[in-house]
Amino acid sequence: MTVGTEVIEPKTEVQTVEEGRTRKGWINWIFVAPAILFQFFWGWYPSIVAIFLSLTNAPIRGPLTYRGIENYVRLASDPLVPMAFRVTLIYGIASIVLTFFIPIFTAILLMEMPPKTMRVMMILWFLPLSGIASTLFWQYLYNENFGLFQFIATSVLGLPPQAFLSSERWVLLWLIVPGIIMYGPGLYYITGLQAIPKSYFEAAEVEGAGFWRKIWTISLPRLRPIIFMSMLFSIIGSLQEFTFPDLMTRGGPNGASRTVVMYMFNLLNNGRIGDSTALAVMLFALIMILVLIFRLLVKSDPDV
Amino acid sequence: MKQPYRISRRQFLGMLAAGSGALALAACGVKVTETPGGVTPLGSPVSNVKLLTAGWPVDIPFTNPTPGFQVGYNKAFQAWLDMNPGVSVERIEFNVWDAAGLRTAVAGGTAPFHYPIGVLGNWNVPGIQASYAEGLFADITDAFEKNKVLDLLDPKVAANSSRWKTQDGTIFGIPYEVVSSEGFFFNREHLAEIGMDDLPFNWKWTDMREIALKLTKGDRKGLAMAAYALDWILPTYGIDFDGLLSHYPVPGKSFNWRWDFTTFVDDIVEGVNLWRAMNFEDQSVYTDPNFWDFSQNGQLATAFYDRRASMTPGIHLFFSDMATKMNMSIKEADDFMGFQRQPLGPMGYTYQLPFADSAWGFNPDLKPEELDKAISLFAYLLLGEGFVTTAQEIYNVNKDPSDIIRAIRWPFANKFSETVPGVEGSLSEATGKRYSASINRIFSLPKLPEVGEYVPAEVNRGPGDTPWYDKLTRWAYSKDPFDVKTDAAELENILNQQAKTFPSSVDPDAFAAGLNKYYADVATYLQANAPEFYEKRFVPFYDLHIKPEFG
Repeated sequence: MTVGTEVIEPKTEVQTVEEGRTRKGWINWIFVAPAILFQFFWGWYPSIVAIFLSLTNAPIRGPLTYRGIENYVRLASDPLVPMAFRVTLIYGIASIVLTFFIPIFTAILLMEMPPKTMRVMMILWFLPLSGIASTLFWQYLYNENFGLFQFIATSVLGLPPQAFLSSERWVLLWLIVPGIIMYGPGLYYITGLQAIPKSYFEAAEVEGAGFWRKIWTISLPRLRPIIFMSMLFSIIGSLQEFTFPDLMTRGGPNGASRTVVMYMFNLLNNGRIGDSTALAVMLFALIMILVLIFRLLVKSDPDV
Repeated sequence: MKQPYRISRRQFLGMLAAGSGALALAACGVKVTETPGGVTPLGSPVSNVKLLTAGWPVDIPFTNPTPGFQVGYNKAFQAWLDMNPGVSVERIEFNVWDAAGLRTAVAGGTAPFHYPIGVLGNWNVPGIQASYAEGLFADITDAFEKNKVLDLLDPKVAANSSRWKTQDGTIFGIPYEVVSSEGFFFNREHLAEIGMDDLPFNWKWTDMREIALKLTKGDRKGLAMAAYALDWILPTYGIDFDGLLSHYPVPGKSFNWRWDFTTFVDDIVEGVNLWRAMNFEDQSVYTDPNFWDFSQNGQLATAFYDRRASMTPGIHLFFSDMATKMNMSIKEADDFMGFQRQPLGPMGYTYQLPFADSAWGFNPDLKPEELDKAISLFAYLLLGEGFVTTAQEIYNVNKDPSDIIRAIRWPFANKFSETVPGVEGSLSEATGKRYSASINRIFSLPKLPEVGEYVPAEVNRGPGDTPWYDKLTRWAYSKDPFDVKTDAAELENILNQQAKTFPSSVDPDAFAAGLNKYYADVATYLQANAPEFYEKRFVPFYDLHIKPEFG
């Protein structure tokens, strides 16, 4: 074929397929690029920079000076560091134990309710509440002088006045309690439960399975991938806890509720950026180890 | 017939992805530009010098409810712009009061042209001087002199330069406000009920306990107090994170300071017992471990406005804001409340300064011509002619000088605290005779020497105050059993253990020379102003820690 003086050869089949592949690859990269860029700029890059900064003097301005493991040595001899790790681990374990399993059973129980009741209960459970507003509300509930819980403890139950957040011994428990009520992986569980074919339960009922038997042999195994994912997020999230204890207690009394991330923030506010990033790297390593152990021990596929 | 254009699902998704990416990239560069409210934007394009402001105190528009302020401020702003063609000011959304955010912005070169010095310097002289040494504020010496800023300042403010000038004379900030140390606002009517006209000027914390108890009546508490009550009480014993008697120099031994909370531990026990007696036995205090905000907008001030508390902590700057909160004129506010400095320690010592300059620093990334314009604008609007224009406009609209006080917090860092050209009457009288007399008396007290004025800035930050606040929260509120003496020893150990691991950036000889002078001046000050404290506390401390080190 000719157009003017230019001769255009018809494309071979191979050429067309190759161009198609190229286009396809190009479009694929467009789709993937936002995720890669996001992950790079907000995930990998800060992590690499943090590891690098933790080995320097990390000035706010001016030249960086390599300091080796000096920041880590300083943190190793700081009595507040093991204290913060201890608080974080207790908080993490207790909050996973106390806040993780209750939503699973609540979701299962909700599924047993009539559809109308279930819908109402779901709306109530998943009301989109502001985290900060809820925290301030809990602060009021715990207030020693005029809080609702103190009123219930003293005027209704006839107990002596309770210390609540002023008690070093119990402060972590009081901080975890709101999580039991407000923590919301329940939505995932309900979604997972709704995806289980009804025929499984009907067949089990025909075979004479009772309520608990159905939970044990159908609901929980089918929820396993969601439970696995939620637990992974719970481990990571609870070891990075900051906002709630910071707003409620600022780490007090006597550091009894100061988590590692809160201490990192303290160091940062004192201008100790190198120490703060070294502590962040230590926490990162701990979380990675725990996640790896978890992955080795727990299998997510219900059919395995 | 024209065929309808069809788009495949894949094409649609591809376009959506590309569009989203472009939108996200565009959003990263969005800026909000404003011109002064009510001011005609400059006709000619200005691009030579662009200053980015994050708002107060150089704002566009500067919102202030006092009639006349807006017009006066905009008039002054426009006059400056007319005198400085080629300069534009752009408003950015940024919170200069957030220390972490500001630090990041200064490090990344995205900070506005001016920001409060105290935010980056932890509000104390060593921190501020260290922040300058770290390069967080520009050296403005040349622009300061060129714009004759010193001539605009009140002489008392100009002489008190440790928060905006280094020991070798380099200037890195401009004082904008004069801030009293913390004190207490009190309800005059409540005080009259117990037969008092005013809180005593030289009162002690034991007096505070007695007065608070007398003022407590029904649901009303004598005192509303923030969670760091002990951080106000213990320093009057000389005990603080960086207290005169709990913190001593050891030049040349890694970090230059060590802590001692055990030598005078009985004083700590006494202070803790006093506070706990007020709170738990007398129940004369409205307080809570979560009450950290003692500003005019916080829970404590609200209890004071509602007459649920007779005294509330604050700084003198809150006065006009508090009047506004209570819908009172300045005169009515003066009749309603008074202000007194903090009580003294049992031996007459106070760690408090009569006042401090609240200074603003400037972005170190500004070029010399930008810095010059920034200083010029700041000084003009807030200290010089622009300030006068604004004040005059307020007066012209309201015919009452007290409205100037309502809009701009008194006393000012400039020379107009008493009179403003074109405004009839005395501003201190317009502020309220009793209130201004009290403030003037506090402001004229002799000043306790501050160590940051004597020793070179330490760039390597040492241990933070976290362990100190840990113990304070326990001592103040914990219902669990504890022993103050054991805690004090533990606190000392933690801080000293941390201190050993820090290097020092300061030359030991310069440090020692500065400290010799510092302790000599402190001794002179204490002999004149707190002789009992000098004899019974400072001399033993000096003999124990300073003499062996410095001879």
